Amino acid sequence: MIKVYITGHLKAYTGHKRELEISNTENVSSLIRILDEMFPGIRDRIFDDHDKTRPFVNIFVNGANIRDDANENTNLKEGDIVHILPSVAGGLSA
Amino acid sequence: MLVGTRKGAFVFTSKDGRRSWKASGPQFLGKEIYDIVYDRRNKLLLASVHDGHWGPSVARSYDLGKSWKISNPPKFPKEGKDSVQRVWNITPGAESEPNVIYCGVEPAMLFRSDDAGENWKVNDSLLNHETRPKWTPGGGGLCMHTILVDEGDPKNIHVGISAVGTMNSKDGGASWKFQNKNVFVDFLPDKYPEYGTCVHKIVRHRERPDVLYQQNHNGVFRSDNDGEDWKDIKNNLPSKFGFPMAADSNDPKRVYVVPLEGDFSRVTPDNKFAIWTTDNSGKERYPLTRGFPKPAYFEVLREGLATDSEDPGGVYVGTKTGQLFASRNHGNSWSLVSGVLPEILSVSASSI
Repeated sequence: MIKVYITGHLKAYTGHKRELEISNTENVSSLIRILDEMFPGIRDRIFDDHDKTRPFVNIFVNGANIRDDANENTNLKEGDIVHILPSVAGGLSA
Repeated sequence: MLVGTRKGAFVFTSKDGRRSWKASGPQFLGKEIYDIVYDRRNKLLLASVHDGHWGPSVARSYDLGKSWKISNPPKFPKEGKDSVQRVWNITPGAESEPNVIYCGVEPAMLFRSDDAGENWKVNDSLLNHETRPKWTPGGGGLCMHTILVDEGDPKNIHVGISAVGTMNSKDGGASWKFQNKNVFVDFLPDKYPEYGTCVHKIVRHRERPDVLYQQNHNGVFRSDNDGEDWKDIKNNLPSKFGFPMAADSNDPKRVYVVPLEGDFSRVTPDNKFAIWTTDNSGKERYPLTRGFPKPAYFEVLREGLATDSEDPGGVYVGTKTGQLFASRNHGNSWSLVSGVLPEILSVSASSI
């Protein structure tokens, strides 16, 4: 089982659940696809038109940013913990 | 009256002939609402909702904003490199095509929905237009901000792109050509290029669909032949520069603009807030100021000016500093509806 923690805006898609448990997923890309099957539309908030993680969204696997690993192809295994978080950003127009 | 702001959407309703307004909202608190419109054909509200982290979306409401549903968003094809950054404009199609809705996005592209905004399809012809790799953005981004559908001929579509110019399709979007003849640019060596002009807004004459008006970075223009060519009608306006433009609902010769000092100073000239209009298709202009505070240092963004379809015609304007004004007599006098809104990005109005 993989634990997935989400926050903020995404809770509108999950019925306000912050913590999810997902099984049988190979990597981050397939995890987001499964989440989208459970909560339609959530993928469009996390990924852009090419299924790449949006610039101001960060996905961490066991505390490591997937951008420092294999991005959306980062492998997942039983017991992993995934956080999907908005980045620290803002200021000029926000 | 539908007001999109930097921090959410507000709905203002009037039940006494537009004398007083009651506010509700904000909807989508904290989100940028680039456009919010009422589709009278489907009794449907559509909003462009943008979140800096979670991206753009189109939201739909069949109960006047009590509840919203996010549509399957417009997306570029996976074989390309582009990704939708913002939805700048949502435009319902013609009465004869009740489920057709268009949206214009950044980077500049046209999407069409054939199911009242639930799903969107990219315009392939524009996507593959031979000049598209050479399109360059204006200061606000490479955005498609204007979509005009000819009510009498829905296959006749004009779009406005900053800083590309006006494009027209006579075949419902199957093919496109530029329509920038005689439109001046001061920022290119070629002062009258085929494309690369910085159109800010285009409106269509309500009774003579072949007549178009254009507020441009470099002037105010009129076309009497459906955009085939343009002539400068700045005339006595205090500035050629501005963003919004709106056509009066009753008087086809009357169009409204909000001149700003210039791209170097984006406030209305001479410390006065004024909506300028014309009663003779742009030959002469005069300011409408009754009811506005003086002095004033307001700026109005591209979608910040709107008219309704009532008689006498209503005019509505929202400023970048959150003041919302309404007129129910063609702009001859104005009243402050709200002075405490966030930065106003878009205003539209409709009877329901």
